[in-house]
Amino acid sequence: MIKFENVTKKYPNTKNSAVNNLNLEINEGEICMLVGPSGCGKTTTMKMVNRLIEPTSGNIYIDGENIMAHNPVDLRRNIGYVIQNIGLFPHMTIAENIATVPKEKKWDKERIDKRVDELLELMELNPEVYRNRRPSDLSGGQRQRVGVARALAADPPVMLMDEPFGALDPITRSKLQNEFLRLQEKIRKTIIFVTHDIDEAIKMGDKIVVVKNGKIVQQGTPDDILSNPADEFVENLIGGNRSIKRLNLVTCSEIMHDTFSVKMDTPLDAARTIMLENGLKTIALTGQNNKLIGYAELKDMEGKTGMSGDYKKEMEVTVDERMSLNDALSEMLRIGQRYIYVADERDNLRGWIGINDILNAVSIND
Amino acid sequence: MDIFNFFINRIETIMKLTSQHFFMVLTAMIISIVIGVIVGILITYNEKAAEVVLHITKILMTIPSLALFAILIPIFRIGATPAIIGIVLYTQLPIVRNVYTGIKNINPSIIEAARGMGMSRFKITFKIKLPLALPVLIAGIRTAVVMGVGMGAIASYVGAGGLGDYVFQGIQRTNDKMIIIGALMISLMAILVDRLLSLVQKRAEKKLS
Amino acid sequence: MTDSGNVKKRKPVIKAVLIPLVLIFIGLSYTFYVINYPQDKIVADFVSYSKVFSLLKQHIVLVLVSATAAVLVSVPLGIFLTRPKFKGLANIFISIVNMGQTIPSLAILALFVSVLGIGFKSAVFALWIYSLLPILNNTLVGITGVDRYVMEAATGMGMNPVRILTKIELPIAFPVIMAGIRTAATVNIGTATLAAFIGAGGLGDLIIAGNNINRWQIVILGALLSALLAILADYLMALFEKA
Repeated sequence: MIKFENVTKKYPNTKNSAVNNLNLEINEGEICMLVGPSGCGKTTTMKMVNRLIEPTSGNIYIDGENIMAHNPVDLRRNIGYVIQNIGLFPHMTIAENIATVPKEKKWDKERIDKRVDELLELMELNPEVYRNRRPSDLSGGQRQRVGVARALAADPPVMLMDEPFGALDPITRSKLQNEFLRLQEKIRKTIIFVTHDIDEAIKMGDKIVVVKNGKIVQQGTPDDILSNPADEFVENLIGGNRSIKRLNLVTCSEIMHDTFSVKMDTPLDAARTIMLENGLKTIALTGQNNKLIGYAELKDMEGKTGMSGDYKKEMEVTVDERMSLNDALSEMLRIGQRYIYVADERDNLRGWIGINDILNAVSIND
Repeated sequence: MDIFNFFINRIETIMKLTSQHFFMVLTAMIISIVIGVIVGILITYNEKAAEVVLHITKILMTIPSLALFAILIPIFRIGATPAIIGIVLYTQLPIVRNVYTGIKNINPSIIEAARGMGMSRFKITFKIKLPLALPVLIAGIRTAVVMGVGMGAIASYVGAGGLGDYVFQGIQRTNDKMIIIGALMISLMAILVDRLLSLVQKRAEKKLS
Repeated sequence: MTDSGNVKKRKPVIKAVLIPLVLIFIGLSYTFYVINYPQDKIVADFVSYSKVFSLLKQHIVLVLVSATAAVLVSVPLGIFLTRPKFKGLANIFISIVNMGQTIPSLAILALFVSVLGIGFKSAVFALWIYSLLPILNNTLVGITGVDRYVMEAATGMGMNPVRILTKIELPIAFPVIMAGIRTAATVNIGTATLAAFIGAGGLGDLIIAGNNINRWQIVILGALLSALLAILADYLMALFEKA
């Protein structure tokens, strides 16, 4: 989809090239993470794709077409662009911000309005509420969502993201990363994503490209990079404790166990039998379509009759099946529990994970 | 009370001079703003040119306004022309400087986002840069207009008419009433214009915050 | 290391002396040109070294007297108004001063003439008021602009109000106050040309007389000398500020 061929960028009056004879291929629908220390050339590499920076030599192709064949303005309108400080236009409303590229492409008003609302909903921002607000009325996380929506407005096949979550607090950042991954499952864009945060690269990337002094040091899947760092530089970049980093690689759905559950209206006897046969102390309670409602404890049922639902306790916390083990572990540590239930996006019960499963999952290869 | 009667008796002349003064300053300001905004935008593209232009406008302002008008007489004769040209030259500094700093102070990531999304240079200037620099530009225009009203008074000396006529004639004839009425009308005009533009400025600032 | 340090230091000193010398040289050579190569007989009769220098002296005296008086009044007044007791007063004064600054110079001059009559006295008073405002404004803004936390830290460390004023507030506000004085002085030098209208002399005499007798050489002489004076004053004060 995107191909760099012997690309070099040398700024005037500097000794070394910012990007040095770089070759790279990025497949369609893939998130490619460019990672490295500041000044390593990762941002320069990215900005050459939409010609904010022109290469000194070499070629870049999108879908087999040399980008030099297009005029930069047209090229950019077909490439989504999200940057660290978001760059929302403070004098325009959220809707006007999102409509920027569609307006440049001269869409009619009705189509633009429809698209804006669609995107706001996609970003979980109520269009009625947010359409006419200004960027200054939004929180950092909301602004970032609008930034992503704006980049997606004209549905470009390629997106460039320059540390888009860099300026956010850790909790908001992790939330938006998860949201974005979920979004990407639907939209399947080809994405070049620049970051200096190796954890972010491991979490978000289909492919990681480690850059140093304008050259690629190593490229591969997150698992490749973690298990076989090419040299000391990559090893240092990953830092100590590779097992802990692997927590970000594995999703809950990969290691969860099937779980026993009973309906709210299952008689208590039946529930107790299941629990005793399987040595369970607690059991999940579900409603229609396997929707998770709460749980019941064996000790409460001793010598009682009635429905399972009568002894329902509120489920304090569950984890989404697409979240990483890191997220699951943090939740377990937060509530001080040795296991956690896993649900899907519609809150349907999918399984459970125990703390030992997490230990086993990340220590296998090490 | 004497002065009040004097004012009532000569209200027609005073109003004529006031409107003459106002339209002289207005004409000059329209020209000044058009030139100043264009120059201010152009110099944001070249640091070296910016330095030179800002320096020249600053030196222009050290020339006493009286002298500036007098120098223009041999070229443009007496009347409104040298007055308007003098005011235009003199008020370039606040306008050019404020357009320049207003644009230069825009967060670079906003401009980069606009470029990255494929907006043309022309569109970026008119849809992004100028609207964002507007409060600073209006502040500059405000300073310039107040200066213009004051210079308009001095411009009477080169035969441009306006309220300065009343002051100069009053000094010549040692007529205190004329002097006071002239001075008060000039001050009133300056203060009113300043207040009005301050409201406009606040509105523009509010729109961006 | 010490060598390069010396070189760095020496260069600005040369520049510091050179620029004023160049300004003075330009003024002197143009004066020399007008007096020795006059446009015609009328110009020759009108100008002489003694006349030009006495007008220049008058101009400088007008400016120095009014500006010095303005500094002596507005800086202490600004300090007084920013004491905690008068906090509300400072804001009121800032808005009064802001409005006062919009009143055109000719109007102020005219108002003084109507009270004090024509002559040197009116001119000095008008220039004094006119320079008072920017200096007072900047003193108020400079001192009230000192970071609240800096003040809190100073108080917290047990500094008394006098020491806070002399060691914290004034040093921090100094550049702002100086900027006010610089603006006031440069504007004052230009405005002082208007003094000629009310018989207070100064370089404005050259401009007005030159215009009356229709001799551009003389108009430009007045304009050039006052412009050079303004640039020179601004430059010297900038030097003083850095020193």
